[in-house]
Amino acid sequence: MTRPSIKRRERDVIIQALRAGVVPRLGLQHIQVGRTREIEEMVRDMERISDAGAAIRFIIGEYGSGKTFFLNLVRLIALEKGMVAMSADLGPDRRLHATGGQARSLFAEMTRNLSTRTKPDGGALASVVERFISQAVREADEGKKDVHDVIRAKLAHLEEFVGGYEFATVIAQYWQGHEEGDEERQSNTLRWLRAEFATRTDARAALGVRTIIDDASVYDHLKLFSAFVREAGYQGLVVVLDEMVNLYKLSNSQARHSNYEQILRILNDVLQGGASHIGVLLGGTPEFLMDTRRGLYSYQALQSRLAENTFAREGLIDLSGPVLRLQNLLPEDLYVLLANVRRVFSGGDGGEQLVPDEAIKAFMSHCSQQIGDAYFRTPRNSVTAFVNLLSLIEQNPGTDWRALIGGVEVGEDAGDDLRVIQEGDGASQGGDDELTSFRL
Amino acid sequence: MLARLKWWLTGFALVVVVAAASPALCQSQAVRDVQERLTTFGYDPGPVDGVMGPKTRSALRSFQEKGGLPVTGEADAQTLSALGITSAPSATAARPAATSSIPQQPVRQPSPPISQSPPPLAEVSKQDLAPKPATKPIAQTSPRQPVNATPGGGFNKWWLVPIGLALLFFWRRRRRKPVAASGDRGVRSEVDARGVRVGADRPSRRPAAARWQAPPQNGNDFWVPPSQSKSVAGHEIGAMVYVGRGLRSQRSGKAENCLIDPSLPVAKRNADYAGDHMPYWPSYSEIPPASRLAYLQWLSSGRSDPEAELGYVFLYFYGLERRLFLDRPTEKEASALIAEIHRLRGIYSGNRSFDRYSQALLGAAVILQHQTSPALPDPQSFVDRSDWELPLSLKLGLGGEINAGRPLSGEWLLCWWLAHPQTRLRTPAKRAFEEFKQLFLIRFEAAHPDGLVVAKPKRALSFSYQAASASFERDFSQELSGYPDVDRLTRPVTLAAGIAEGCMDDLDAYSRYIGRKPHGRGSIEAHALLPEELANLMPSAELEALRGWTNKQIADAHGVVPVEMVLERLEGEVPSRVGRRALIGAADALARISVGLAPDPRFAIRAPKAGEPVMLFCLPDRITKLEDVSADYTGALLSIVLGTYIAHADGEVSNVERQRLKSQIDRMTSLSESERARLHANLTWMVAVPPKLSQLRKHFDSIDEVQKQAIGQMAIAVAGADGVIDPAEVDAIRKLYRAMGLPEEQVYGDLHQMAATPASEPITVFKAPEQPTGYAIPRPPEKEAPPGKGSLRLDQDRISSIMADTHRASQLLSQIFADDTAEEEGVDGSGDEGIETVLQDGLDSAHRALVEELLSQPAWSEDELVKLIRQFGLMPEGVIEAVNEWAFEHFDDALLEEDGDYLVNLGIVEAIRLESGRMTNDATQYQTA
Repeated sequence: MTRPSIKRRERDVIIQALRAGVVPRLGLQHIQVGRTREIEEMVRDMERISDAGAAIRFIIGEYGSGKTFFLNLVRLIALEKGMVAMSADLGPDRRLHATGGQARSLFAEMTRNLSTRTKPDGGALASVVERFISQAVREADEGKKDVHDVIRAKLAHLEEFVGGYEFATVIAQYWQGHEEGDEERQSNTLRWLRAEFATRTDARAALGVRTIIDDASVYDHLKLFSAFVREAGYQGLVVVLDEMVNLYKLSNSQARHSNYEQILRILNDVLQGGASHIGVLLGGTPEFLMDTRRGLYSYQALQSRLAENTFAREGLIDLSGPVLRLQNLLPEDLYVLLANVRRVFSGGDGGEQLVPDEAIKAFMSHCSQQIGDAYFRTPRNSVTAFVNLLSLIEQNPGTDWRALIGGVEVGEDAGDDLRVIQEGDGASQGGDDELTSFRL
Repeated sequence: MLARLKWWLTGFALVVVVAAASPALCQSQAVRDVQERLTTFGYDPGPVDGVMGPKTRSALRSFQEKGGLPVTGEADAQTLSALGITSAPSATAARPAATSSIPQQPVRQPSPPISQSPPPLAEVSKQDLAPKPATKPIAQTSPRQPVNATPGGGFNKWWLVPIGLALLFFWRRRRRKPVAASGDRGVRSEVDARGVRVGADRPSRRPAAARWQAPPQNGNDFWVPPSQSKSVAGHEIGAMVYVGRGLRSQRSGKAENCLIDPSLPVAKRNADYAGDHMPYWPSYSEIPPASRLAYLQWLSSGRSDPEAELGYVFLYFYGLERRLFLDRPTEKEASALIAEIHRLRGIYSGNRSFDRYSQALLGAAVILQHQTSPALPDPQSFVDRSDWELPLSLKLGLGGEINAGRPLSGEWLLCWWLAHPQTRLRTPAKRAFEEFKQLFLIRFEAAHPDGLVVAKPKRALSFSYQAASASFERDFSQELSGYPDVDRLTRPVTLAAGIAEGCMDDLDAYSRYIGRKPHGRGSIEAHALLPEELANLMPSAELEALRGWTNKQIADAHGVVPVEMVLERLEGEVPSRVGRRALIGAADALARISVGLAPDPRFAIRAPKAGEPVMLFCLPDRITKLEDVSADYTGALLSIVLGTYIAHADGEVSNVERQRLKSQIDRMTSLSESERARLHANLTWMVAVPPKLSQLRKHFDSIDEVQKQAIGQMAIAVAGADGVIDPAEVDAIRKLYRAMGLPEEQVYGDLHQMAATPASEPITVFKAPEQPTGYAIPRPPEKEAPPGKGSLRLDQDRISSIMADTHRASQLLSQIFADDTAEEEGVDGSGDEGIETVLQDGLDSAHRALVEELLSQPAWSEDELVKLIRQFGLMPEGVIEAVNEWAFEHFDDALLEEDGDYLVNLGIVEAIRLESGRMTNDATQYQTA
């Protein structure tokens, strides 16, 4: 069994992304270390979602255990499977439930980050809407029907959902704006979909609808979105929410409770078949899950649903429960990751490796001297430095790696999340002159 | 004061007394004698060799200095007398007093302490106790009494009389006063105990001393045999006394002090019952008439008034003594005499003086009665003895055993030790003598299964009876010939003392208990305190009953019994409160019958409260010292307590959790089997009675950070054992961390770590065996030893497994992200459908046309593109999405890439060109462009 070969384009993307300290958009299969079972499980989830099913997962891991990387990987898998992904990090001003606009803010963030395979970096809301309308138009053309009627017909079943009628109306408005060349109307439509209308009055004035996406209806609209993307020809909707620990940090127990209620609602919907074509991934730290005073465990109904089947019993690991735990990284994991990176540099197994295994070990020793355990617990900076090192050796053939390793400076990871950033940014940072953390 | 006075008097007397003539000591025998004496008195003249060397001289000098004599360094006459050697042995030997055919009629006073030789009395008495054969030649001249022994020294007697009287006065006062004042007759023995009396009026014990004595006068004519009775002065005094005139003392020549001379006056009234006029050495002929009256009254009134003055009893005793040893009575009569002594002892042995003399008499009588080895005496009889030497009968017995070549049995040795003058018997041996005896015998038996072989000492046993009356001495050398003298043997006694001390130590607790509860003997508590060896020997019905009861409890109720029930069973009553001491006692008692009691308050985090159950369980062996546990035990117990505490958190201890704790105990191989049994029982108990954190807290102070981490890990492992981490368990662990001072946030990380660890590699819970001390508690699986800065240790196996896993993940992901179009096209594209086919797959006619249009140009500005799309009546975003989606489907990449302007993906163009020859021109066109 040989490992898949690495294409030149993948190689470049990976190296650039790693150098920038971000998750590569392509070729994750070449650097992913282990976690086969977790990935398999997520792939199964995606298949279930495509199959009119639903899934919810709590991705629990400590800081540096690779939650964000994993979430990104899953998101990319989802996109690859023809799904639409919405993602956002929770924060003090972005919650699942609120009364001061924080939930609406979260929704806005999610729709801004709405991505498809063709637009993996987000901003695909208009694409999705237009794709839907395009299909409606085509159907209308083929069936000699009124486009408006087709849109209405296709979205008729959305009206079963809370706010479904308004949603359909807004979509139709978009078509209307297109027909009439009214770009402002189209823009308003998208603004509505992005929950950017703060008041109903504004929405009625702009689009003639009586409701808006507000703090209380975030999840309802996620469900509408999932139904809608199906109609647009996608396989389903995957919602990725990271930094759930921000809910745990809420000091107001009432507010915390309301948010947990939302999670419970999602959980119940998913587990009881009340939702389809939707997957929700929630990333959080162990205390978010297990703290019995402020974490999910403090909410009895959630706790009872989450605790079961969470732990392995006598030799078996059960990943089918809603909680998926990520182990902390160990030095060995980092070693394999660095070996993978080296392999990417050489373009696969065939090429000659830039540095021998001892170089990797020496590099790790060096890192551990510089920043202690963090070098493998939060490996971003270590990886970046390693990529820089390899680049340097690649471009200066004959350089002895031993001479270079001692000079590598590895900064401590400040704790920012790995997130996909614009490819262009990655490219701009990838130049040789960007070796800021590299000193000879 | 007294001693100094005596010293002075003696010295003075000697100076006066000693004859001037003092031939130089040149004979080696004489020198030897001097050396011998010097050695005896504690000086060091070197070896006894008969040579007057410098050492001998220097010893003489120090002797003279000490004795207040002229310091000459020569053995002059004065010094010789002081040493107790007559100036000219050879000269005086020819005329010993013994040669006189008539009984000596000395003028001397009955008790002349002045005749005592000058050295410290104690030394003399010591010497007396152990007569030295070497001194025999000296003794020929009666060294102690040079005055009397020297015929030419008669003039000195007159000097001696007042001095002797003065001394006697002192003695009497000293002796009488306490007796009269307090009535405590024991005080009399004080005097005796110092040996003063012995030394004072027993001239010598040396057999040779008898030589100057008159042959014993037969007393048959004076003796009133038991069948008769005599009347004296109107008093019917009964039998067993000497009555008459003329019976004289063998030693003093005066009338025998026991002889009742009917011709002497007896008072008619005012009897001296209190003995106010009785001397210490009474003699019937010398006591005042009032005292005679009291004596006769005592005799006639049954000789049993317990309040009688001891002097009278002694007076009577003197007669019995004389009869027994000098008159050689028939065996029958001897028995009667001895019986009479026993009778008197029954009444008067409270007086130590009488006790001692009568006992001495009985001891000597043994020789008369049985010439062969006496039987083994009852060790108990020695318990209250405090004698200055081994009883004769015991010496005889021991000598007999040794003579017969038998190793000494434990009983003999015990007797020997008990009777030994240096033995100090402590309370445990007295209070619990039977137990002590048994324990001694068991331990002796264990150490010397064949008995103790004692080499026969060379020294022969010699014994002469010193009459209490001081009027005669009876030498038993003949009867005792062949018996070894065990007196000087120390090894057996030391050995016995070693065993006995240990026994007394071990019986201490038991003895205290018996002291507290005199009726507690045989009770379970008392039994519990017995040393292990005795436990089985001292049967206890109570204990047997208890054993039956506990067996039943263990069988019927799995050993879970209310604490009150156990205490009631053990103490016989329901305790008002469950005390720590009671529980410890109960645990100890139960351990005797191989039953454990959990919790043992000595180790448990808390003792059971009233109303709670305790746990009875079988111990693998009898344990006498429950408090002795290995170093790991307490730590192990603590970890079990914690484990149970965590397991209890969710309200119940599930089977899996309990199982995990149990297997944890089983893995503690550093503990003994019984310790593990105890841990198991404690576990069961704690499952029934949950521990509380507050009780644990104080135990945390004593453990270090690593151990705290380990305890945390173990608690987490237990909590997760049943596959469910209950919020209550999380709470419990958090409280535990807080109690230990660990950061609470760490709880979740650790819990997570445990949950995320693949179950295929079991969590290391206990790594106890290698740990030398302290708490043998699990170490955290990984975090425990993080590679410190600079050290890099990689687990190659782990790398391999990660590599394999990575490989699988890579395969999986590449299936998802695979650029599989080419292959599929390779198969499907064999025909010549070309671009049409490709375009038709997934694109409608409008889009198809649009794509063909798009391919005509390598890049489009946004405006151009929007314009173009609108020409087709389509929506820009939707088109780009649809077209790129289509491109992904077929070429695994987007056709249009937005980079300010929209760029047409040349790769796809190339692919399309390859697919379709029609596109060749266009492609060439792009490239040139």
